[in-house]
Amino acid sequence: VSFEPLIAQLVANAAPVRLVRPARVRLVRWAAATLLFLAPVSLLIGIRPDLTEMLARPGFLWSAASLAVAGLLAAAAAIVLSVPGAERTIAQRGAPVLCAIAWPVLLLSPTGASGAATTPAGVCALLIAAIASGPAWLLHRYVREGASAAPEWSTGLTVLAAACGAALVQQLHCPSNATTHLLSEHVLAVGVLAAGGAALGAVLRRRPARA
Amino acid sequence: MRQAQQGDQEAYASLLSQLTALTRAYAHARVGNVPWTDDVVQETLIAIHRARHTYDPDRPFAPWFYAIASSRLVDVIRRERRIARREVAASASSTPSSGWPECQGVDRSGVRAAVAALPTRQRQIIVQTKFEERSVRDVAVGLRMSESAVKVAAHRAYKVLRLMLRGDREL
Repeated sequence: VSFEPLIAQLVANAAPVRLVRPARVRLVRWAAATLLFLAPVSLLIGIRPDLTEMLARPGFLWSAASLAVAGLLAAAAAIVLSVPGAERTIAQRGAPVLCAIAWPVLLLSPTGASGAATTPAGVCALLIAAIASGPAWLLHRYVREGASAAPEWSTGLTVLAAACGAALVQQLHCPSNATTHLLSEHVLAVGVLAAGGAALGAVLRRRPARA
Repeated sequence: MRQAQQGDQEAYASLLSQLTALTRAYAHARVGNVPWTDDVVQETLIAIHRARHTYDPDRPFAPWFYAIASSRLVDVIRRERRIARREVAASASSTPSSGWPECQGVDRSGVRAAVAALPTRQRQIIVQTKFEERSVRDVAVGLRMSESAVKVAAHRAYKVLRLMLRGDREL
């Protein structure tokens, strides 16, 4: 089979291209923009009244830190994946997932959160989804600057990064310490969002790319 | 690739020609002698074209290229499995979907040019089933293929044509 006609058509449409910006530039810009977005959102929805006391608990503090790290690692991995062959090791994808798994483990540890639910069901999950939409959209734009060879991972990690940021804001806001509430509202929301992102990426992978 | 990124068409044509052989060899080494090797080559060339702005000239070319080729290979393998499953389920159907709604409103010369860019076997099938309005059975007999194989090849060709016609500006 000759591919000369296809090559000729590709060559005929080969205008000079502007190279994609380096991954670190896109990551820093996304992180800065997300911080600028989440800080006022956090102030707007309010901070839990016992935050000072909760921050004194190592489990709570470390769980918040693991969320932040998971979000950054997920964003970095999503951006790196947008350049074919740039991923040095599969651990770049695995690290944010492990950090995200560490979050509920630390949160529900004896020195984490414990107590009764005080927030109506569904509110936290909806808030996490709503807050995550902004950073997810922005990160998606940065990822789309490239051409990911693994869209299911790129999209899943994009949503995971944004959901981690939103869950962090919500953790500082939600006064409920009940295990069932934290699992069913906060943790499940992040998991479902990330899985939904990955599923969306898988669908996009099956579809032909559009101009 | 660096020259291609700057718009050097001669260098780009030469690169794509070399990558055609390289992709074919890569697919052959990974999955052996399969009838859809040309699909892998075709999709890899298009993916390289779409992703050419992501190649960093300061980095080696091979990891970038093989990441794309590997991804396309996996996609084609998955698609072949899906098509095979669908073929079993829809074996009662005798003709591929009639009409070509995606191409309505598209310049005919553009469609013909896109068809001309298809690999030989796919091009023959599209020309005979769509332009000459021959039945799948006739085409299958003429090309010494099974009816299922004709439908599968037609399906692949539609996908590539959609990609080429919708992505004309990008291509």
